[in-house]
Amino acid sequence: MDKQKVLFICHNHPAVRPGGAEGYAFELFEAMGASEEFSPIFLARTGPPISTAASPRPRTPLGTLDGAQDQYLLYTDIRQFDHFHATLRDKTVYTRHLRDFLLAHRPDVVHFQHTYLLGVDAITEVRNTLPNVPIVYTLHEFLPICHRSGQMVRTGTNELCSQESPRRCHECFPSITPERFFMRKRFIQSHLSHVDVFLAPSKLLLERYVDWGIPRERIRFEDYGRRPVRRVPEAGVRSRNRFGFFGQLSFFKGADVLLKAMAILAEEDSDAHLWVHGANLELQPVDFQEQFIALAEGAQTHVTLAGRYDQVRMPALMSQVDWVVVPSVWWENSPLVIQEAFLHGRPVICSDIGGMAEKVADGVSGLHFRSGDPRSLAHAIRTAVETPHLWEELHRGIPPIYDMEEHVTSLALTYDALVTRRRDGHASDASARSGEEGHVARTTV
Amino acid sequence: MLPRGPEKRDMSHAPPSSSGARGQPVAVSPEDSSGGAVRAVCSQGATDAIERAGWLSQDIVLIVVRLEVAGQSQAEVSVRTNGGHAPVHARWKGLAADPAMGGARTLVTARLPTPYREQPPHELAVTLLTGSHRIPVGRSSAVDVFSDMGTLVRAGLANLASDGRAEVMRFLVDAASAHGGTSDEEGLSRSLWQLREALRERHPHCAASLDEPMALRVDSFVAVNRSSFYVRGWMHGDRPITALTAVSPEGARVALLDGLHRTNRRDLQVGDNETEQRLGFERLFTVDPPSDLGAEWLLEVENEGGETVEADAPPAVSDPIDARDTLVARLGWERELNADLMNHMTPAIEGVQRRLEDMVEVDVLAQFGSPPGTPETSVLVPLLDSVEPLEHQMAQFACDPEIFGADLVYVLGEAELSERLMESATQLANLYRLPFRVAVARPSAGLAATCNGGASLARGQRLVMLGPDVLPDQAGWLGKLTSFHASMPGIGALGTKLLFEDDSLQHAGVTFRRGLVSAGLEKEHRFTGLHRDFAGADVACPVPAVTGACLMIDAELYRGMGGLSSAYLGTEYADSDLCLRLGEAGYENWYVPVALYHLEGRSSALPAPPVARYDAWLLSSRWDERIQDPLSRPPVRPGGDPNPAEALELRP
Repeated sequence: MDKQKVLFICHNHPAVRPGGAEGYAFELFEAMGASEEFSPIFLARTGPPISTAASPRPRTPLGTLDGAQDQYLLYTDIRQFDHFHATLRDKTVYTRHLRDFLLAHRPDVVHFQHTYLLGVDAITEVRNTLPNVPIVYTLHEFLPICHRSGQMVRTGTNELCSQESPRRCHECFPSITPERFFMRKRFIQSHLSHVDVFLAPSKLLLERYVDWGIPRERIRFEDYGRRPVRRVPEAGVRSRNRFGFFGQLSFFKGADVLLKAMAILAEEDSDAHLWVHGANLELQPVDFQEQFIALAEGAQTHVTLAGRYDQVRMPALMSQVDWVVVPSVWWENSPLVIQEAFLHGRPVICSDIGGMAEKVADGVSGLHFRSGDPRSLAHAIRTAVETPHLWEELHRGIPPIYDMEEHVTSLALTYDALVTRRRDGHASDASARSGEEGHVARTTV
Repeated sequence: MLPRGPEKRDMSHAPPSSSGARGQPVAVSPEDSSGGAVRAVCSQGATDAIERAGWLSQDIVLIVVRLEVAGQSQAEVSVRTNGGHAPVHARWKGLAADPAMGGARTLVTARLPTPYREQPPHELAVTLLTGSHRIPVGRSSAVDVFSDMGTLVRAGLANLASDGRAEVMRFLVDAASAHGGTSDEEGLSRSLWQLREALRERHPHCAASLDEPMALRVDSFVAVNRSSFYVRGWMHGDRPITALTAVSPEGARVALLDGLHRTNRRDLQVGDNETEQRLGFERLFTVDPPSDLGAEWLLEVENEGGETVEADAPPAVSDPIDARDTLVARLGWERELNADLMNHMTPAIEGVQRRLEDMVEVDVLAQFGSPPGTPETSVLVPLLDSVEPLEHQMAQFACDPEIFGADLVYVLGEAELSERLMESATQLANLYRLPFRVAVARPSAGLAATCNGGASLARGQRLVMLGPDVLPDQAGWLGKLTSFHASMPGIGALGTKLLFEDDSLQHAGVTFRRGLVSAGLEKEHRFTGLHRDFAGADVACPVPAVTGACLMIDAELYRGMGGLSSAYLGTEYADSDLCLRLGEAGYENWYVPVALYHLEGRSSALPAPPVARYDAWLLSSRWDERIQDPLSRPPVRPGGDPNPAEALELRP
C-alpha cells in the first residue's frame, strides 16, 4: 500500500532557529517518517526576522534543508508581509512558487502548523490547486484572532482578554478603526474557511476559536504528542527546594513576576533557589531588559541566570531541579514545557489561567498561583519548600503525557476520515468552488 | 439660395463712370433709381468700390466697400477660385459717413464654402441686396484688395468716431452666428480680439481702491463652458452705478447689472454696518458668440454721470476640475446657502460637471479568467480613490459560487491608479481564480461618470451597483436579490439591509423629510443604529429610495434613466436622485432584508462639507416641490402601511 504523503507547512524549521511550535511540528514529522504509513514532507518558511542569514537565490525562493529530500525551505520577503491581515502582498509566492511545489509533490494531505510570515492565502492556494486534498490546521496561539501577537492580552493594562470584537480591538489599537478589525477578521476567516479540520491542543484554545466563529464540528481537541524521554536519575534524597524556569525571558512569559517573587523570598532568607534557563532577553523592549537585569541583581543570592539551553540537555537540566515554574501572564495554549516537566516527573507551579490551569491540576500535579502576582507566586514557592511530602504527593499526581505514537495514530485516523469524506461526499471537480458545502458557501469560518 | 428682391429697378442707367476714380466713394440711393429690371452691371475697367478685404477666419471674409448705403441686410458675394465661381452667404452694414474716413463705408462679411487655405480666391465680386434693390458694388482681383487685418483696421476703421467703432464691433462680433458658424473658431476669435483692441473705447483703468470715486475689481473669473462664465468681484462708486458690462476678448458686450448677486465684502468694508452698500458682486452670464480665448476679458462700470472705468479680468479658469474646485471653494465661504446665490452657482457647477462628464471615456483594461457566457447580473464596483478594497471583496467573493457566474466589473474613477489596479488585479486573479473585468475612466471621473461608464460595459440583464466598502454577510446574497427582483414587475431600484461592523443597521431603505436642521429636504436611513434583527427592518417593503452602496436595477432601465446624475459632486445624494426619478416615472423602489456589511467607516474619505452641503441643496432644490409632502409618506412599518405590497418576510 502506498504511503500517505503528508505535507507539513510551518513558519520556521527548528534547525534554522529553535522554537516550541516548530520543534513539535518537526518531531511529528520525524515520527511520521519513521512509521510505515507515511512519507511526510516538511516545508518551512525562512528569511528574516527568524533567520538573519537567509536570502533568496535569484531563480527560486525554494531550496532544500541541507540536501534533505523531504525538507524544504521557502524564502519570503518580510517587507512584503502585512502583519495585520496575515498576508503577503506579493501573491506570486502562492500563485507560482507554492503552486509549483504542490503540483510537483501532489501530497495526499496538507497539514498547516502555521501560516505566520507565510500568509493565510496559502490555504486558499492549496484548496484551489489540490481541490480534493484534505487540509488540516493545528492552532498554537490566537494569531488569527488577536493582533497583539496572538496573545489576547489587552494593551495598556495588560489585562487578559477573552472576547474579541471590532470595538474591543479598536480600544487596544486606537489608531486602527473597528471597521478595519472587522475586515481583518472576515479576510482571515475567508481563507480559513477552506480548512477541513482544526486541531486545538487545549480546550481553552478550542473554545476561544469556536467563540470566534469556527464551527464546532470543524475543530477537535488534539494535544501535542511527545516522544518518551530519558530520565536522568536523581542523586539521593534531598529537600525539594530547587526551582527551574525554561523559556523566553519575556513579559508574556512572566519572567519579571518570577524575579519579583524570588526577591520576596530572598528577603525572608528562604531556602528556595531558582535557575533561569532562558533566552532572547535582548529581543525584548529595552525597559523590560533593564528591569529584568535590575531584578536579577537584586535577588542574586537566590537566582542563577543559567543562560540559553539546548533541548538535548533537557534531561540533565530537569534532574537538577525539583519544580518547574510556568508564570506566564498570557493564556498559554498547551505549554510544551509543562509536558516536558511532567515527562521528567517534575511538578509544575503555574499561573491559574488558561492552558496552564487546564494542564496542571492544583494540588494534584502542581500548584497554582494568582497570575501576575509575585506575592502569590512567592507563597506557592514557600509552600512547595516548607510543606513536608508535598513534592512526593504532587509527583505521584502527574498524569501520563500524550504519547507521540498515539498522536500519530490519531492523526492517521483523522486524515483517513477526511480523505474518505472528500472522496465520497463530493464530486471530484477541478474547481473547489462548485458549491461544496461547508467549505465554500459560507464566508464565516 | 438668397431671396432676391423683385427685379424692379433698371440699374443699367446708373453711369458706371460716375463712380469716379478709385478712391472716390459712390453714393447710391435706391430712391434715385427709376423702376425697371435690375441687373448686375459690371464693366471691365470700371472703378470698383471694393476698397479692402481681410480674413476674419479661414472662411469668413470682411470686405470694406466705399459706398454709402443706409441700413443693413444681406449681400451677394461671389468668389472665383480655382474651383470656379461660387456665390456665398453674405451680409452688409452701412456705416454713417465719417470725415475722418473721407466718406461713408459699408462693411460686408461673407462665409466661403471652403477655407481659403484650401482654395485661395482669385476674384471677389460684391452685390448688396436691400429689401428691393440689388446694388452691384464691384469686382476685383483678390490680389488688389486683400490685406492683413491690422492694415485693414488701421486704414479703414480705426479712425471712426467712438459710436462708429462700437457699431463696427457689434456687426463683426455677430459674424459667426449670422453665418452659421465658422470652420476656424480660433482664427475668428483672434481676429475679433485684434479688432476689439483696435476699435474699443479705452476707459481709464481704475485703481481698485475705495478712495477712488469709482472702482472696480474682478477677483475670480471661471469659464463654465465657451458660452457661460462666472465672475466675482467688487465695485464702488460715489455716484450711483448704472451699468456693469463684461466685454469678451472677441468684443461681445454683456450687460451684467440686472440679476447681479450682491454681497458684503468684509475684507474691504470696515465696520459692521449691514445697511451699507454691498460692494461685492457675482454672477453667471452667457455670451454670444462663444469665447474661446479666456484671457483679455474686461469689465466696465459706468455711473449715472456717464463716467466709465474698466478693469481686466484675470484669465478665466477653464480647466473643468479647477473650475469646479474654484466654485465649490467659494461656496465654502457661505455659512448658509441661499436661493439667490444658488441661482448662479447651481447652473455654473452643473455646466462644469456636464463638460467633465462629456470628456469621460470608460475603457476595459483587462478581462481576467473566462467570463461567464450569458451572465444574468453585472456587479459593478466603482473604485474612486483606492485599490485596496479589491482584495477584501475578492477574498469573500471567492467563497461564493454565485459570483463566479456574474459579470463582475471593477471601474476605476481615479485614472492615476490604473497601474496599481492592474498589478493588484493580476495578482488577485491568479490567486482567487475569479473571473472579472477591470475598467478605467479617463480622465478621472466622479461617482456618476464611473458608474454610468461601468453600466455601458455591463453585459448582464440586471445591474448591481456595489460600493467598494461593502462585504457580503454570507454567500448567496446575489441569488436572493435576483429572485426577489424578478418577482416584482415594475420594480425600480432594489436595496438591501446594510450593517455596520457591530451588527447594527447602517441602512434599511431611505426616506425623506423636511429638515429639522435646514429648510429643505433631508434624507434618512430607516432604523439606522438599531440591531440588525430589529423587526421593522426584517420585512421587505416599498421605500422612497435606497442607497447606491448596494442597488439592483434592470440594466436597460438604468441606462434609459440616464444613470446617475453627474450634477452631484459627491457620493451621498446621486443615488437618492435616481430613486426619486424612478419613482416619478412610475417605478417602485423596494427594500429587501438581505444582509451585507457596509463599512463606510470613521476613516473612509467623507466628502468635504462644501460638497455635501451643495449636494444636499441640489437634491432639495430639485425635489422639494415634487415630493408632495414627505411627512404624509411615513417610513413603512410592517402591518401599518395602508398600501403595502405583500410584506414578504425574508430571512436575512
